[in-house]
Amino acid sequence: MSALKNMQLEWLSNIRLRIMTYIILVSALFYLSLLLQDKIKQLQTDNARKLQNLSKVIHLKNEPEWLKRSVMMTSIKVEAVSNLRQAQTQGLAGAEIQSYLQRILDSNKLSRSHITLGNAETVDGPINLWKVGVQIQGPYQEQQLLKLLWQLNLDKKLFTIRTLNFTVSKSASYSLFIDYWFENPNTSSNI
Amino acid sequence: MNMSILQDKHSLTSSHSQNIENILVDSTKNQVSSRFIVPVKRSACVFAHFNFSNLSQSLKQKSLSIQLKKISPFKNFEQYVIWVENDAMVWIWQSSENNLKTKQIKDKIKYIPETILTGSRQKDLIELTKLSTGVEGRIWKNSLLIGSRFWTKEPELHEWNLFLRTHGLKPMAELPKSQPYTLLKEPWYKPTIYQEIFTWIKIIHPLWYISYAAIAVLSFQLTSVVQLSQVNNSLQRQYEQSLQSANEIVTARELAFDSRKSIHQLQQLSPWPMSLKTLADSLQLITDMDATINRWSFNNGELTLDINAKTPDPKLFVEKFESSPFFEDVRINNQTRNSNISLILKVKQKIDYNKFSLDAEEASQE
Repeated sequence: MSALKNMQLEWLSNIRLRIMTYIILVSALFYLSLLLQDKIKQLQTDNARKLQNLSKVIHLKNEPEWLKRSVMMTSIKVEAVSNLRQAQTQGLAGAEIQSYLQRILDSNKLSRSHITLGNAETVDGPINLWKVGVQIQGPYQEQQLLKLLWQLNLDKKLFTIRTLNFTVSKSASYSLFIDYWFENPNTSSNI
Repeated sequence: MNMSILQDKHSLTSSHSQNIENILVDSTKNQVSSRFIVPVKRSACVFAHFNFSNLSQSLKQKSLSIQLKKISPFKNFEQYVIWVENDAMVWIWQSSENNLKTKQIKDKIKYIPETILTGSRQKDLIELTKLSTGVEGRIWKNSLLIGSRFWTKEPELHEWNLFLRTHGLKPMAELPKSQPYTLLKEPWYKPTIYQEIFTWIKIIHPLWYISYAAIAVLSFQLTSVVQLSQVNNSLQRQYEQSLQSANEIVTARELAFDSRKSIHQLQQLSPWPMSLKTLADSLQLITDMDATINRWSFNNGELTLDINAKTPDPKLFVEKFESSPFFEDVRINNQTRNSNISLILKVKQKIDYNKFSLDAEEASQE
């Protein structure tokens, strides 16, 4: 008797074999069906995204004003970037700020004030920057503090006064914390 | 049919040996290892024809097994079945399993009754065929072998007519001329691969229901996948074509958005007005209120002011500072006491995002 006939007879006589085969087959088909369903969902999502992109591009074709907008925004960006300080290294950036502030303090006769320079930090973003934080502390004298702020205000380059504290009392003092911003020369090509 | 089987049984009882050597056709005895098809002597076989047209597919095999056990003169037997639709032509012979020397040989060979390797399949015919030993009477009806009887030598006319009568046929005046003996290389009936598959499908018929459902669901899903893929490809092509023609504008738009991101980044680095402006404005307000500053604390946009006032009316100070363009959300600090007023103010951000806004609709799609 051939193996095929044996299999046929075994199949017909063994109900457990049949049931298990049906279960395996149904499971396999169900799994295949789930795979196809996932593929359908993925294609539907993909199609919706592509349709959206297509409609956006078709819409854009009718908007030549983007050329003007681009020129305008680029010129504003260039102007904004030109307000950043330039330095080759973070060390040089810190040194530049130190000497710049010392000059201002000296010119305003704020000899009792002193400068504490923080470490330069890299700030990531559309434009990569260096941040140099500086703290100026000293005894409070209203006119000299206003002069100092006036001098700082004359600076056209970008800086941020984070904190300004002063107290008017017997031990009157002030403290000023400023961030100075430098363009990172290693990534200036993307500007 | 039953008479024919009885006759076959009778012929087997007298001299048949249990050894395999005695049931194989002489010319093939020494070629077992090289040939896969080995003819079994007709004299060693019992033949029967069954019609199962009244039974369902699943019962046919089972019914055949029962019938074979009923008609078999052997305790253990092997069988060769030819299924043609609802008809089964069956040969059974003594199982020779114990006599085989090795399993390897058993797996190599295929035993086929001598009947199927001699003569040919006929449509409607009564014939006498010579075999390796003896002769065989065959009755064909609608291309089915419905009767077969073995004799060691040509039968007498009355024996022949008895054979015919067992199959409901009229007696003949003389014996038909016997066909010469020729051993075929292949059986005269061999199911094609399609028939084999079809047989399998019929046996496993419950699977049809699963298959119908699966085919329906999977076909629907496959069709969807194909259609969606086509749409996907078409959209991709259209997108690429449109992008090519609008390339300049698309690039300009991307550049505009990139530039705006950079501008916003730089704006956010210095979001508040210069401290000098806020200080000057505050001092002016405080002087107007006939008061002096005790403490000024500006910290990341939040300003805390301790004021020494001659008429410490907090409401007046709050209203005054709220009217300033530099401050918002003016509140009284809980630590206020005596003639001191402590205020907490938020310095308004100077960033005007609208100044650099691109088309609002486009910006939302960014």
